[in-house]
Amino acid sequence: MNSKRTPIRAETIQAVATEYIGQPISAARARSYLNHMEPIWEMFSSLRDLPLREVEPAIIFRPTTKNE
Amino acid sequence: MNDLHKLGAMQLGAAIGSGECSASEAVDACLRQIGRDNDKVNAFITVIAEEARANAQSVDAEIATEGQRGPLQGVPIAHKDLYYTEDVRTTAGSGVQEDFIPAFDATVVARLKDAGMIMLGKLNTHEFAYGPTNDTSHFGACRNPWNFDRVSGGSSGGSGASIGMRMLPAATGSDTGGSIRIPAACCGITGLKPTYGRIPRDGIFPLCWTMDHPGPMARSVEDIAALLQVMSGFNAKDASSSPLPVPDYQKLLNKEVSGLRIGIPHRHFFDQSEAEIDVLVHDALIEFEKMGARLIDVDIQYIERAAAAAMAIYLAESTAYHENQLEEDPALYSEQVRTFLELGNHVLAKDYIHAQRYRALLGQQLATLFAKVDILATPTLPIVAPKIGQSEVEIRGHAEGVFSALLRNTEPFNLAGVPALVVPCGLSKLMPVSLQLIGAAFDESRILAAGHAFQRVTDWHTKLPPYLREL
Repeated sequence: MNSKRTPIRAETIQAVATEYIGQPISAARARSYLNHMEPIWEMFSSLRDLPLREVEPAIIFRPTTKNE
Repeated sequence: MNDLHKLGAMQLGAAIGSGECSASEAVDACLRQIGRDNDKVNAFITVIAEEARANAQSVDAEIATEGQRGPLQGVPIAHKDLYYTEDVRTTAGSGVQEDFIPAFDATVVARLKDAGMIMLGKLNTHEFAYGPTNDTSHFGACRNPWNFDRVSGGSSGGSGASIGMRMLPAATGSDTGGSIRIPAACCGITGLKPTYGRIPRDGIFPLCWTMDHPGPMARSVEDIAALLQVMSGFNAKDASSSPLPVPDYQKLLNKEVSGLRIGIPHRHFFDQSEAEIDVLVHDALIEFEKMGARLIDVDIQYIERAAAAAMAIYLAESTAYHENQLEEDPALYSEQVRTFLELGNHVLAKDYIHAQRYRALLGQQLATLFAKVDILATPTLPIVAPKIGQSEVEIRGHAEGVFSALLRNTEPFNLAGVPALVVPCGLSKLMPVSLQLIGAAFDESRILAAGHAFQRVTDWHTKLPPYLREL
């Protein structure tokens, strides 16, 4: 795994919000989100550098039993 | 009996049980204090005075004929406004739920009611618990009893401020990244985030299903143990509820501290705290040494990534929960919460999964440490309560966002799901400083015993805010 990533663009945020999520946002709002998002997404990418290869996620699917 | 509102929960319960005072007198004393001082801290969103008085009369009648059935019967309490309360408005501190009246009680509310506790009302919270300051609430910022210009801390700010202001002896809170421990630390009271699954979550508005921990807030560890006893135990309505038996926490409270191995993780927790807080928490640890505990330096590997993992989970889970409402009424949310929810739309599934894998990795690190030490100790917060509206702090020459500073020492233990108790341990800049004690999963009794021992040899938990001292 590596943490190399392409920085997010305001246009991408706006397009994803409008086309995929169905919650259109203005260009100005997309630009303001960019300031919050870029450092946060950079933080997320640092998780990919951890030794997680043999580690399963903390939440595991549990089949529903007859009594539930 | 004067000043009943200043007694702790167990003290008040004992006074009611012995006939020194009645539940009605206790409720009246607390309601008087709320009427006098709530406008100073804005802790209560809703007060149910008439219902509380009627319930107190019923309790008094029951005690007169059958005796007191438990140590908390007749003791006043209030609930964070995230907890469903039957026929009593439950707002989550948001315009979105301004008029919501639940048809049933959260399991925890029902259990405390069954124990005979008398609900006085509902307490302010950061909107939907999505922030650690409680200066974002549809009902206005919650203020700190020690300095009204500073935040109460959040998200359970009303719980912290009401107890700190001596309006009542006990309250419920919930803790997703530190939301019980942060206001407890800011307001100079005691709080416990138990092990994930120890207390059922059903009937409480979720922030993040996999990180939310309900828990008690009070003045002393003794009171916390009594509240935990009632709140704990399996409930099938919560998929994460633990079937493990509930120990007798009050019986285990006096366990000796001598020989206790306390791990001290300097990196991340102490070396990024304000210098005076570092010193005060070390002073507190010396008290444990005097009682025969051993202090052992430890390091928690990968701890510096906790904030990244926690953020991925906050954003993803909270946005999933709020998605429909956000689409229908975005303007009903505050700007800060709306921004967080909209950012959550862009979290990649793989980042969320990596965050959940990180939790397992962190859990392994802590489990390894808990084979070498019995508990861990850290400062609860690296700073004292910031000013209302303040967005940045400077710690040892480095500027940092208020949210990340407040959450840094607490959220790793939400990720790991292990229990953490916070107790007042000093004053810096005339504001409370707090010590955090962390235990292995389901080992609440050990941190409670350590915290209780600390409160037997210190009096920080009894200190009154300046405003109350001056009266």
